[in-house]
Amino acid sequence: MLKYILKRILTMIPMLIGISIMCYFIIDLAPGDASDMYFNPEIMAAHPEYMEQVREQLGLDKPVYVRYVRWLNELVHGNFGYSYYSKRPVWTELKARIGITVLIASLSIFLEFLIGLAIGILCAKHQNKPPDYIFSTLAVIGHCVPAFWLALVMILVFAIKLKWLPSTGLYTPKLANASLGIRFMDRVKHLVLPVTVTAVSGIGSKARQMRSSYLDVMNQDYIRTARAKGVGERAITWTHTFRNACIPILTMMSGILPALIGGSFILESIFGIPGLGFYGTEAILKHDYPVIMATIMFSSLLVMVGTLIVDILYVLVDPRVKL
Amino acid sequence: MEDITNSNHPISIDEEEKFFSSNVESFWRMVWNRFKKHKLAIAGLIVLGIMIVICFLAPVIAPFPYEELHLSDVPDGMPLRPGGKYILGTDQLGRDFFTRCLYGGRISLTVGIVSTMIALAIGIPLGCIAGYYGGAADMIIMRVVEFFACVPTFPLLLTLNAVLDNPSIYLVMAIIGIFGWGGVCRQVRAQFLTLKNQEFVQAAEALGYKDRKVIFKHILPNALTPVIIIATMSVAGGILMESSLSYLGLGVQEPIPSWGAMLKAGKSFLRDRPHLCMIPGILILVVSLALNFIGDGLRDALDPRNTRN
Amino acid sequence: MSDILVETKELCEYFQVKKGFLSSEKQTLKAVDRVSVTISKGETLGLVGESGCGKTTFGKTILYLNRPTSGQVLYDGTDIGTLSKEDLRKLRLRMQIVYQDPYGSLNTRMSVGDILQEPMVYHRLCTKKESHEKVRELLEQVGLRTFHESRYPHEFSGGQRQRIAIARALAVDPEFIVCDEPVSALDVSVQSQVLNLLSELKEKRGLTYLFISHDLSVVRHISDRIGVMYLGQMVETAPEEELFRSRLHPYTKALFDAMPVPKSGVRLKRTTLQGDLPSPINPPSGCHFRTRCPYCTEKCSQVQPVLKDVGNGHFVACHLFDK
Repeated sequence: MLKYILKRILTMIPMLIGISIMCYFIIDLAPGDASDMYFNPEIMAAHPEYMEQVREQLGLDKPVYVRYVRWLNELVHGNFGYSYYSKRPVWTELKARIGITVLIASLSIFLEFLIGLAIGILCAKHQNKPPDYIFSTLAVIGHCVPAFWLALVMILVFAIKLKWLPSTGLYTPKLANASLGIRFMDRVKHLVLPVTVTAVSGIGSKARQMRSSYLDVMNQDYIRTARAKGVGERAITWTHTFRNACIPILTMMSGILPALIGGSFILESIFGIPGLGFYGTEAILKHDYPVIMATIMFSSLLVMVGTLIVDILYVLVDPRVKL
Repeated sequence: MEDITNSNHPISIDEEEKFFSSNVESFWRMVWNRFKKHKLAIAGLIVLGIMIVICFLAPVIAPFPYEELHLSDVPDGMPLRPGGKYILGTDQLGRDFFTRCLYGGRISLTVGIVSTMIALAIGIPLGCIAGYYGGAADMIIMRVVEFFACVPTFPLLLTLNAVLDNPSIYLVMAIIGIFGWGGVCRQVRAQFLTLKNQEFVQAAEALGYKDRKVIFKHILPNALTPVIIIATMSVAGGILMESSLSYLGLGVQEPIPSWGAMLKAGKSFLRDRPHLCMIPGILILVVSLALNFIGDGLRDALDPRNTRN
Repeated sequence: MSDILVETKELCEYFQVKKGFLSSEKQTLKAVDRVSVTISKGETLGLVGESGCGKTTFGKTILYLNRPTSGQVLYDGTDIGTLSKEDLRKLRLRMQIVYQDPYGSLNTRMSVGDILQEPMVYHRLCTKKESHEKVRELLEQVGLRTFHESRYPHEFSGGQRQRIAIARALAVDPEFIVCDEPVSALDVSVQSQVLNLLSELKEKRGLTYLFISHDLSVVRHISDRIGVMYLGQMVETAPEEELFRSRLHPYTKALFDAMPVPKSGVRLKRTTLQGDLPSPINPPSGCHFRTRCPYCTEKCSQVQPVLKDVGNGHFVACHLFDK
């Protein structure tokens, strides 16, 4: 098992390097270079020789692969570069933002499984009866809804019309001096909408998948045998049917993380959440290349780590799977 | 046990002929018969059909050109409500909203369909090779697929779009397709791995058919059934990606309308003119639902072991 | 001018399997272990044995559908292994196979007419126009109707599908057909019909068969000679009547004794075998049968017996008959 984990970590490294190469070369396609960000274009036009000097100093005149190797070198030493926009080290800004993205993603995964699987089982057990129709339809709608639109709709309904929840941000500034309890609730209120919207699509797809695989397992002979042997309904539902029905769900797991990370890029900007996604989106729109590189590298890293965890869980749950 | 009859024709000819239905039931007819039973799937098919027809007839149907401004009608920058001259009202520059919805649909549907076709064009052949020949080819192809799977598609897509100022819509379609072929490839390969060992494939080999014939005429038609479902879902996915891109201001540029961009523009008027946000969103939702229902219907129609109704 | 159509010399088909899921150690599964046998023109060689004894693998290897690990297969005097890929494809027209599973062996996407005319047209045995007539002839020869031509496999019963499979094998006008348990998946009443059909066709077309089955009573009706396999090895071969008159190998004795006799009130003296079939991955040393043989001696665990002629065309691989 340990050997497998090590092997996977070793494969991750060339993958990350590959991604960084691809990224770096893509960014290189953009017109202009780093010096555009530091200097006023008029000055640049007026003093071409000075610009040459500056470029040479920054190493911007070297061919792209040389610049890449230098960047990689810096990266290995822990230096992610400096944001063109804020002039601060990328790593400091990134460090502050990863936490919230991971938090929302984790909460979202938790909800997806809790609610999604529950709905799926409910639908399967009452197949073709009203609860099934209602919840299945809701599940499909949840799965198909464009998340950014849903976000706007929910903001419209809950924040603007009903005024129950705040629309953006992580906390309300004027409560900064309130008691811990109030601040905690405030934080929670701010997280409700983002987490819900992020989770909706996943809930929908899991509910559908769970319904379908639960039905498949439910009709198997071995379940019928267990019932005939007198095993209680609760045990049948959980120990037997549920466990086996989970297996196809886990295969879906590997697709969750890229979707969540990708989703964060849009949803965080709608909700004004200062996380990895928002940081990346802003950087992309502002052409802040060091930040872009770092964000993409980090997103890829998160995806790979998540996939590894899923694969390990898969082995633990399904006895037929061999590493 | 004297039950052994020597007759090769146990039942009379007439009985047997009556036993067979008068319709020759080819595979696709059987699939269609099963598909028809899914009311939602048929509804989805009809809705999608209507949308495609309307949107692609936009130049003919639309009351106004999509880029035509009517600034005089929107003096204070507040878009007009639906009704009157403009069926669905206007946006803040006085452009007819209904027209823009139509053209936006054209863009979204085109991107969804073309990007899926690109993904299929890359994924199916590679999946065939990986699944049928195995070995080194399989390993290389699978590594590439895994690589693309690890990359968070959306951020990279955003970057690409940002880097290439004003990318043409064709590039957008190509990029979405290029990131999407992995799933198709994996599915085709998995099908090939299963089908390769089935007896009718071995029979084809025993009959002396060349590899190419076995792959294309025998295995592939059977392997494509799950691919059809993936393709349907992937069109929905492509539409979603395109709208997400245009929502962020990338992708298709003004004045060409896109549902995502219209959503973004409508955001400023969320309070007073919610329909500017609602309608594009609902349109995306409806198309996505239609495609999903069709996909569901197909999944049940194509599954030979269909036990649930 | 040799009368022998197909001959195998020391034919071996070994598979590499992993030991378990944690170890990457490979073991060898000896599915076919040094089998040497001859089949004469116009003869039906019946091949019997328990499930897993390698008879199906042998049938496929003899047609080079699996490449043998070692040993030779000679068809009409030519070593198949020396043929180029093109020549092998051409040779395939002379040797065909009918599979066990009538449901999996036909391509469900093609109509019966397509299935039958495809090989004829592909190999240019006749033009597309002529093929329609030939398809109708074939259908009649196997006892189906001409209107079946436009139907699809899923519309037929098991017995009829097997007839279609036989028709397909006949479409290229072969000399030699391997029948791999063609009736095992069919109802008993239908079995006899198909068997009779196979016999008729053999008479009419002068075919040679390798008939594989686990059912002795089936094999009896159709075979001229019978071979008995155990764990990948041929342990006894003899003409059909000879074998039914006197069984020599202990395994053959037990196999025959196990045939149910539908007579009430008769108590037969049966040799029952002890123990289970050993794994073909690690067969017992020397004679593979020794662990279940009631007559096992010291020599049996050390030296592997080979087929020896004991007169009347009867060959046995057992130390009891060493002279």
